[in-house]
Amino acid sequence: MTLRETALAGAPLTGETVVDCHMHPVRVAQFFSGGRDMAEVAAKMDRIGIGCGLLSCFSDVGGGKDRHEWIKEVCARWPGRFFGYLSPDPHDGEFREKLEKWAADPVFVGVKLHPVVYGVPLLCNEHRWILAFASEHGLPVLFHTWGCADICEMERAAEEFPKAQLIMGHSGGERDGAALAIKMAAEHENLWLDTTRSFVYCREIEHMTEGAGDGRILFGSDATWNSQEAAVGRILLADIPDESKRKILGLNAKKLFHLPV
Amino acid sequence: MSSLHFYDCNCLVGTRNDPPLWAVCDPEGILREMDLCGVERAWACHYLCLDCHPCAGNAEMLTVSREHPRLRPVYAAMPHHTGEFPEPRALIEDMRASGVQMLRLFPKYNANTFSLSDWSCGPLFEELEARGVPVLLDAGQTDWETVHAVCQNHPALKLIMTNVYYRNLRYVIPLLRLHKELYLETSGLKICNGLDETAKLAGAEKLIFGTGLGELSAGSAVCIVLYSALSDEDKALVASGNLLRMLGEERLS
Repeated sequence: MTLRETALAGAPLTGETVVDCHMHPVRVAQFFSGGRDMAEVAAKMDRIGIGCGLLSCFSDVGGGKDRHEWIKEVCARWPGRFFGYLSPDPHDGEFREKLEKWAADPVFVGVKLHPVVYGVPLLCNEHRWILAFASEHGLPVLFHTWGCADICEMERAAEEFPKAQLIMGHSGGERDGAALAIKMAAEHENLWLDTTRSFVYCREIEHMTEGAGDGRILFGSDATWNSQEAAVGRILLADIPDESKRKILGLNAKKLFHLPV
Repeated sequence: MSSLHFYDCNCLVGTRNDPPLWAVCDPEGILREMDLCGVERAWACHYLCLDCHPCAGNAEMLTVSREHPRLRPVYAAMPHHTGEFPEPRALIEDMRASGVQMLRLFPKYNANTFSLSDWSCGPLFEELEARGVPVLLDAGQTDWETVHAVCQNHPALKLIMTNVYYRNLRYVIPLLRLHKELYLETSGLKICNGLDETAKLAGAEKLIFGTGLGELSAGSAVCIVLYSALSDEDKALVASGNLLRMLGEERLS
C-alpha cells in the first residue's frame, strides 16, 4: 500500500519511522484541548503509528519539579517513545547552569526556544548564549516563529551560528512567513522547516518540498495541544512521492536528532 | 481505501481579485485535491459572491456545477430589503428549481455587509426554517453572541458553523449542546482529539465534514475523521451521513 492508501484506510503507519518533532506534555489554559495526559496521547500515537515524539515545556508544572524533571519522567515512562528538548527560561538567572546539567542527560536531544512566551527578542543575548552552547554540543534548536520578521531573525541566527541546526517552528506561520521560510530554508543549509501548525494551506507541503527540497522538513503537531491526525494527514495526502513523505514524517528527524528509532 | 464517503460542505471556488498565496481557485484544481484526499463531492459557493455580488456568484456557481457535477452549488444570500436580492420565498423557489440545497452567508463588513439580527435577516431565516434549508456561516463572519441569538430566535434553522478557529471551542461546545439545529463543520477541529471530544460532549450527529478547500489542506480535514477514535458508524455520520440526512438525501451506494 502507498502511504496515501494507508491514510485513506485509516490504518496505522506500521513499520514507518514517524517522529513528531513538536510536542508538549501538558495542556494550557488558553484554549480547550482534548489532550489530558500523555497516556491518552500515546494511545493516539499508536492509532496513527507515530512511534516517537519530542517534548518541550515552557514552565515548571507544579509539585516543585523543574520542567526538565517532568519531561524526564514522561520519557522514562515510555522509554524510546519520547525524548525532550531543553527548554530554558531566559529570565532565570540560573538557566546556564540548568542547561549544562540537563544537557548531560541523553533524554534531551535538542533545545526549544519560545521568544513570545518569554517576551524576549528572538536573538536576545541569552538566546545567543544558548545558540553557542547548542552549536558546541550538537543540539538542534527549535524556535517558535510566526511572521516574516521572525524568519528574517532566523536568517541572521543561521549566519551568525553556522554550525547550529535551526528549526523554524511553524515554518513562519501565516502565508508570507511560510513563503519566506521556504526561501530561507532553500538558501541556508542549517535552517529547517517544521510542518507544525493548527492549519496548513492547501498544497503547502508540496510548496515546501518543491521550494526547499524534502531533506530539511520535519513533521510536527503541537500535541498535546493540537491534532496529530490533522498534522499527519497534510503529509500523507500531499501530492509528493512516498520517499519524500517518509523523510518528512521521520527519517529527517532521526538523522538530525540522532534518534535510536 | 476508506469505506467512508467524504462529502465536503465547506468549499469555495472561483478566481479571486486578491487570491491568497497557494490558494487553489479553479474547479479543476479543487477536484484534483478532492481526488487526492478521497473527497467525493463538495458543496461549493463561488468567490464572485464576495468579490462581485451574490447574484453574479450564484449564477456562476450554477455554471461551474453543470460542468463539474461533483461540485454541488451553494448560493450566497443576503437580505432582500434593498431590492438587490430576491425576497426569501422567491429565493427558495429559485434554489429548488436550480437544485441548490444550501445557502451561505457572508454578513461581515466588507464582505456582503449586513446584519444577522431579526430586523434584517428575520424574514429570510423564517423562510429557511419553514423550508428546512441549511445555512452555512463562517465563524469569522460573526460572533458567538449573534449565533446564540439567531439560534434562540429561529430554533428550527439548520445552521452550520464553518471554519471555526480551533481556540473557540469553549464558545462552540455549549452552543452546540444548547441549540438542537446548530451544527459544526469539522475542518477547524484541530485541537488534540478535537473530533472525539466534541462528539463526546455535543454528539457526533452535530458534526458535518468540511475541508476549507481551496485554501486549506483537505488531507488534514480527512485524517481528522479517519484517525479519530469514533466508532465506524459515527465516522460515517460525520463524513457524509449527517449532511445527507439534513439535505433529505438517501445515501447513494
